[in-house]
Amino acid sequence: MMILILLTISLSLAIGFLITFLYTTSKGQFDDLDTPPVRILFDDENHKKN
Amino acid sequence: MSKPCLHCKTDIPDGIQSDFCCSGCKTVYELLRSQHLDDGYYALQDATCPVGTKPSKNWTFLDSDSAKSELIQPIGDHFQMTFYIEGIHCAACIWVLEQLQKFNSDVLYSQLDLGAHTLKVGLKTHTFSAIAALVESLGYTPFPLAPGTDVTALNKKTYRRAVLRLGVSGFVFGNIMLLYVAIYAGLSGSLLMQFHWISLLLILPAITFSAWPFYKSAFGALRNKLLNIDFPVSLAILLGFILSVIHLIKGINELYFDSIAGFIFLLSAARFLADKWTQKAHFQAKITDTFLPQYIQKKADHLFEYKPISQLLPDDIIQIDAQEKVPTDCQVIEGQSQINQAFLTGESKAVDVKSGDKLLGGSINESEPLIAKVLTPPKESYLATLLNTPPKTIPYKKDKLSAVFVLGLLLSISGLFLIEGFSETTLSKSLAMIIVACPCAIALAVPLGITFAKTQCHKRGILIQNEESFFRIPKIETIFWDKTGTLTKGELTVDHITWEKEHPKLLEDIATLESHSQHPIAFAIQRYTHPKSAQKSNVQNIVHLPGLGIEGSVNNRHLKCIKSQNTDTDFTMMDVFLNNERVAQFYFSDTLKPESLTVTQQLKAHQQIVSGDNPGPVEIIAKTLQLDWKANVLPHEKQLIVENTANAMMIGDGLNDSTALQTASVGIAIQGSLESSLKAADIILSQGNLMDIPFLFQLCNRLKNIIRLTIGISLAYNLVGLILALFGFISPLAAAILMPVSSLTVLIIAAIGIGKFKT
Repeated sequence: MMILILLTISLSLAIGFLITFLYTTSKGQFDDLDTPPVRILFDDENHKKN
Repeated sequence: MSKPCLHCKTDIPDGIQSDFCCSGCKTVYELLRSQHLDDGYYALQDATCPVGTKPSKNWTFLDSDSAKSELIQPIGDHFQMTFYIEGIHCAACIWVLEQLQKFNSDVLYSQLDLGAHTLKVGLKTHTFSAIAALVESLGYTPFPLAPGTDVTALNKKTYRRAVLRLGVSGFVFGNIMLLYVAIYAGLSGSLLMQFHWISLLLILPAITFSAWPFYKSAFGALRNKLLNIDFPVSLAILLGFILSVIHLIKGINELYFDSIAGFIFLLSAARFLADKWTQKAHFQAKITDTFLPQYIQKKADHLFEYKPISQLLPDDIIQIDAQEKVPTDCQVIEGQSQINQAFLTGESKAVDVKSGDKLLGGSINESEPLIAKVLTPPKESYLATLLNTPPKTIPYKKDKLSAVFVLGLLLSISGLFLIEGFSETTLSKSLAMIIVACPCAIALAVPLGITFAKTQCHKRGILIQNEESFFRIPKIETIFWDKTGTLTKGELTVDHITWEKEHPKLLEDIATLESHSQHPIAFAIQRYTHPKSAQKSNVQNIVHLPGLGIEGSVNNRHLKCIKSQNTDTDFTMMDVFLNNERVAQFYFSDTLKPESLTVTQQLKAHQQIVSGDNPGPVEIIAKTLQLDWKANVLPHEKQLIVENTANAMMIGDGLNDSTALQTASVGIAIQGSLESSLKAADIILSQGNLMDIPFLFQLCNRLKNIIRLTIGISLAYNLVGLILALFGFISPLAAAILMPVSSLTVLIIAAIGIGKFKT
């Protein structure tokens, strides 16, 4: 029985993530897969070069 | 010794005492420096970053009321506008364009999408003209986009759905695997069947939603009486599912939900990646969009207003400002200006245009505003038809090959059933066979290879009008060269002049007369006498003698300049008659392009010069290049020579080459070619660099080898896999994992082999 409870928890978690994924996709989070991987490489705004 | 420009890193022309190649670069450099963005920018910059241009456009229309309603979106307390940005591609571009607020404190945010080439700007006020001017002064060309009309808006829905399909199949695969780990570990009892039932529920969205494109494509092909690779894919998915459900109901612990989920996920992932790369390559290759402006001033009710060019129709009246690109083929009805057609012909010299002249879409108006009448809708302009010729169905074996494969597969499965009879092991075996045998790699290899090759060509300014050329070039045995303008610069230069009688100021008068002619000889004389005389005065009674020369009276002296019929010399000659008495002879020669010798030596095919020129000059060139030659060849003779040679390539530029270009197995037109040659050619070298020809040969050979290699790999893989599956050595799960791996191998080989190809 314990297993079934754990299973329910894990599945609801998974479905929760699936719903988040559906929502973010519809909001356009995955529209641009080219820019963010480059953007993350930039130095921080206030970071001063030595 | 030239040094690189501080901004764009190109060499500064000799004689310019500056750290920059042009004032535009200097402006950008100083602008970046003023905000201390220069260190970051130049650290990220790659060699082809935009060269600074003079901000010249008048952006005030962005502040107008019509722009406010059409282009600007009010969002809460601020305004947002999207620009399509020409010339972005690297990290430095993102770096600088996302820090616009450093230049203008009204900017709330600026966000760049590298893939779609769009920049979203949020502003406290609605004076976007300042933003456009700022972006322009940084060296980029912004085009305002109305909300919802940007290039990617149409694809967005399809794209998001593909992301969803992939995500859902990943979700299903991951969660089913989690359950199946327990099953593989030896779960038993009532929990086992409960786990299977949960798996059944989980797999439903993958079977229905994620795998939908496979069914659709297979069904579509079947309706056209074709078998494509999606047929066995769909068969495997559905067959496996039904088999598993039957087992589940019967209570047999032999289910394939995990294999099916993995199959759908990996295949969707491979397809998604392939689609993305193809689209990316296609986007880079489809340069029409970046060649043409998005907005142009169109006349409506006596006023010119900026409208999207897609709305242009024939007979619309438009205004093309200085430095704007001509949106489509049109005819000048008012104004005079210079037009640069370098994008098409490679000729950097601007052409004078006046009322009545035709303009080709994509050329740049250099100096004065022009009012013009639209002749063709932008989608039908010459450049658009040139670049957007619908990709011809590739007459390659791939479709036949996969159809044969599918057929063979079906036959061997029926054979298996005949021999072993219908049982669950047979079903399981055939399932593994179907999964492993998918010749997806074959279907991916050819189009992907072509797309990568095309992108490579476009980067070098080689326009491919006929994709079949890629497969014909490796077969070329004979290359025919046109001489003038192809092997040579096509510019006559005055070699020397012999005067038979001295007359004061005669040279100046000849130059004055020739300034009325458009013949290459006339240009040579212009260049020769250039500093001395420029006046166009006192010329009367001009008569153009087509193909021969020009005559007229200059300062009351009757002059006649005609091409000499003397063929005893190696020079092109012109006789000058003063009052019908020969007074001088001009000797002209044409010089070889600097790369001609290297190129002709690099090419292995048999080469011959066919020229309409006199034997003398042709022989000189042929001797220098050590090639066979034929002189005095008329256009139809050229065509005949090419026609009677198997696997011939014709390289030329002139009107007299166009029929030969069309007849040849592969016709290549060069910089400065006339329109008829451009249309006739399979390939256009828009940079006029002959080095592109050996490059094409190398690229096409590489393409041929890569396609052979990938087809070989996938065939070998499929055959081995098929045999192993036939004897039951491969389980459906192993097959489901191995098969997309083979597709990925093909993808990677094509991407590295052709996409990264360098000479």
